[in-house]
Amino acid sequence: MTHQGLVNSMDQDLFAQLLIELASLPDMDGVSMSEIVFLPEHLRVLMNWMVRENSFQFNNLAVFLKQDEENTHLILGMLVKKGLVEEVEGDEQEEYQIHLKASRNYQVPKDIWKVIDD
Amino acid sequence: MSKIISIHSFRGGTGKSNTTANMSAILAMQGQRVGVVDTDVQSPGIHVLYGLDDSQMVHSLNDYLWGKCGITDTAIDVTQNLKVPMTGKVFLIPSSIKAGEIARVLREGYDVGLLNDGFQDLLDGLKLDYLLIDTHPGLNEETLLSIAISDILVIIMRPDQQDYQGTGVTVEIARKLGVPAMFLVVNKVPQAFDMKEVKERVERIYNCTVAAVFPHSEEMMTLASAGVFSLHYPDHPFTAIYKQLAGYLTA
Repeated sequence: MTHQGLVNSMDQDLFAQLLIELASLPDMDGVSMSEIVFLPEHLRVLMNWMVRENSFQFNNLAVFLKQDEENTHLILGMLVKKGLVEEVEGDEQEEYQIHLKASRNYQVPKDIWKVIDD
Repeated sequence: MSKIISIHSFRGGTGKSNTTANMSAILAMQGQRVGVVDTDVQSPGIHVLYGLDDSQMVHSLNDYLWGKCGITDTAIDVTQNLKVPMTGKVFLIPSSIKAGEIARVLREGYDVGLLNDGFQDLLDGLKLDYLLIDTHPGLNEETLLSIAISDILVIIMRPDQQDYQGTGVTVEIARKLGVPAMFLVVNKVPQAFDMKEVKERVERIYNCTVAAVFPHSEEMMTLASAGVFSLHYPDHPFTAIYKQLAGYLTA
């Protein structure tokens, strides 16, 4: 499925798939861009959206996921617990941002070439 | 609505900075406000094409990444340096060319997330129509971020085997990162090649539009080092190809 196709259909069974993908992840202290490339498909689409938004509010996430308040809280809570998202200072409402790791090794992992094997 | 455009290549020496500088000039000639960020902190070079030297750089991208200043403080209005009347503006955000500062950023790294914040601040603070990101060749954390936040990714390649493979990886990664639009530019194509055939072949291999094909030209190589080519040689056939590429970016 294309990226846009996945985004458009995020409100159906794919939401359940997103929960499964999140649950299977270990706790992380932030995520690097190269790790995002290798995330499972639905989670990767969500993380791509968050990178492009830079920071977002709860309502933005609910609209993107096409989910009600309860389900959106569930996903956001898991994202924060897993260390993928952190709360940042907002002007009025609470805002969130992807928790990107600082670049210290600089180069991406050598197995980045595996991307063409997927 | 403003657009972020990353200009990338898998290997060095493909003409990335020259292409970026020419796109900035052509867009500014059309009245656009353009920012150019040199994120090639390991080997910065695009400032040369705008005629800047060290003394004109009060702040650099490095200073912003180390929290010494805001990113808009690092922007230099280089429109006058282009020495051609234009209704738009070109702002350069240079990387430091001081050896110690390059070594420090390589040694200590930096918070990649700051780049994302900085790009947004540049778009807002300088009221930009286009933000062009001149990336470091290859793939590292900051190039992946630049690719991920781009509205358009331009990948420049030469028609040789190493570039074919590296470009393939880059195209696949850009697709995984959900880049909305992607164009290829084939540069330095031997004169003996059929340009139309090269375009069709590359498009077939990557399933991606080739927006421009530049034949190899010694004349071009010589002239390009003097500054922004399309401004110096507005009637040259290569300038027409640059304008064709700009047409894809503004469509």
